[in-house]
Amino acid sequence: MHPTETHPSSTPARECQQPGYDFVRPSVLLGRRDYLSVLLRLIAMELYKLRRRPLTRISALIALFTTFLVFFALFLFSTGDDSGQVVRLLLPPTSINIAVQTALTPFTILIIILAGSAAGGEYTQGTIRLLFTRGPTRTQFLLAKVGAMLICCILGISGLSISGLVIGYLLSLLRQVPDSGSFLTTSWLLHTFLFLLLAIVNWFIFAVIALFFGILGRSSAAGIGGGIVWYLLEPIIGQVCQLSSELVQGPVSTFLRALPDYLIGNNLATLMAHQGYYIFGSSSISTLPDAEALAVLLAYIVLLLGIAGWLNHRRDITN
Amino acid sequence: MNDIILSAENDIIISTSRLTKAFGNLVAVNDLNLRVMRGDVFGFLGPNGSGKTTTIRMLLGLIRPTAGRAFIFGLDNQYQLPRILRRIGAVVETPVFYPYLSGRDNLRILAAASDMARHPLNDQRIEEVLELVELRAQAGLAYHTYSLGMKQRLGIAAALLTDPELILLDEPTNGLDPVGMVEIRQLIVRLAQQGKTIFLSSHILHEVQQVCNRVAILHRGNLIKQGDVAALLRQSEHILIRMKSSAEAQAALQLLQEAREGGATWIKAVAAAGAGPSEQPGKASEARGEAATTLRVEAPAERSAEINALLARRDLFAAEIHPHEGSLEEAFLELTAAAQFPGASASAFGGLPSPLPPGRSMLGEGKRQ
Repeated sequence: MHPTETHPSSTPARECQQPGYDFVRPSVLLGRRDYLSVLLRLIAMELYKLRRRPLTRISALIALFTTFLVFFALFLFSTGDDSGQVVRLLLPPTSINIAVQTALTPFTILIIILAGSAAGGEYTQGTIRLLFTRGPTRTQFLLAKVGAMLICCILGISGLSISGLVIGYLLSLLRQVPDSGSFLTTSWLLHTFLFLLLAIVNWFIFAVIALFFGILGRSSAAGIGGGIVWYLLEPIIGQVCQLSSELVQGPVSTFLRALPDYLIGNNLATLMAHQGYYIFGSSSISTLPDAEALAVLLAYIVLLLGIAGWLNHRRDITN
Repeated sequence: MNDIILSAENDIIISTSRLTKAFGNLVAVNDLNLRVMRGDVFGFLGPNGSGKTTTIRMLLGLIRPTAGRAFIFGLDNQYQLPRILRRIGAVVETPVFYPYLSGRDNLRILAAASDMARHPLNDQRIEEVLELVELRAQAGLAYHTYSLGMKQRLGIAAALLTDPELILLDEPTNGLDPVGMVEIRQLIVRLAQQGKTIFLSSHILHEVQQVCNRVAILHRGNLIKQGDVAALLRQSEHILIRMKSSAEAQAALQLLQEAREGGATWIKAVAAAGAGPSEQPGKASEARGEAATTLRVEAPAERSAEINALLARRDLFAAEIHPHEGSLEEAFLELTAAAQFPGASASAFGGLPSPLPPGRSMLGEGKRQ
């Protein structure tokens, strides 16, 4: 099948013949109409919008600049360290961890801002009614946003990790540290890949939370605010549950002790710590099994997207 | 026989059946039965808050009806909305686009959302529609720098982008200057000549009268009239006759009523024209005096000469005969007044021509951004 087809009402044969008519209608070429093709086109559209937004460009610049600053600070510390311990942080495998932690700790908020404004902004600006009257289904529009945010997360984490590696390596050249590639094994590469994948999931799940709140509250403010509050509140809730469980006894205490195991942050931290053990030799205190942590994260994604999709599908688009 | 029925069904572009939308206790649209035929330039009239935009939103699937159904191209929009929307171009209220993108980039975004492939031919189409709405020179500017008129033009360009069969325009001339309004009217006429079906919601009755062949009038969510514009105009057509004295006016009234009963069926009604209210006491008595000598004859304007002859045969000589051709404004006022106050009619306005100049809305200022 040819990837494009001509709009039935737009063939040259139907070009206007009326006198005084001052323009000739061209044909309109339509793309494939199957569900996936429409979805891919919409993802491309969402990415184009994100790329053209000043917010995206500023966020990317801030993230890159901060990564550079972190490594440059390490470089400065290394000049006063004769043991050579600090300067080794500029090189892999540690530099990957530093780059990823830099991306995750402050810049999760940036991805929340991007996702929240991408979803809620359509309602805030009123462009939602423009999109919903073009043909694709509301579910396709939601999935396109999810797809675009996933691609943003992949590009963001990959870009920041590679930037960290390159910046660290270049700075280490100034200190003439002997490069040791002994860690570079197939197993290490696999675990590093999984580690990066989990970092992407970390960003993505908060992007999904921001999308959910953006759609729920029909505004950028709701998306951004909801996402940031969740991000900041979760560790506090975990701590409060932990402390409270020691003050009470019985089933309530058991429940409070178990609750943090179902929080997003704890499960993500567990998964990343488990991979960190293989990559950096760091110890992991969490006893949560990986499968259970993954199931919890998946449940969150499915639940949040399910509710967002249902709201999107059922809701009236008014002013 | 079946072919004839099928053909008629194919010609119905929009059909609604008891379409109703309630927001809590407020019934925005009530039992609406619309029928728009292929090739119609269909005017959808009503004051602000009468339910026009709600109806358009229901047709486009933006809001769900509380009851009833809407069929477009014979397809139920509750179940086959994507198929329907691909054949429609719409401007709902003041169109809104992405403020950080240029007009051209906004259309590119919409092209992707409308299943248009990335192809030079489609880029050409974008330039064509920009040219059509005379926005090509400003197409590279960011949307947030656009004036209200430019935003409206971009909205129309977006509606025409996919070369749709049905174009829904919700008050498309809002914010346009008089020249812009004329251009949009001309564009609507040209699109109609191409065979497009156009559904035009407007509160500017003069505009609708100029471009539409059929109208529906909505009042407080209820459809009060649907039909040909020409037929509607004929309804408000009348002849005003001013006699020299009230005694002559009484005699003329009696004569015309007798003629009507005697077979001149083209005289639908004869009555003394009532005077409109006046704020100035001197003018009020003057108006009352004029009203006592003036008759309003509900008859085609072209029958003025026959009425003159009829009166002259009885030695009644009119001081003035004023054939008054109907306008949509008068018809609208008559219909909405009748809907609001059963028993009232245009005569409540003294049977006089509309106090507003042509082109001026009688339905309020309309929505402003």
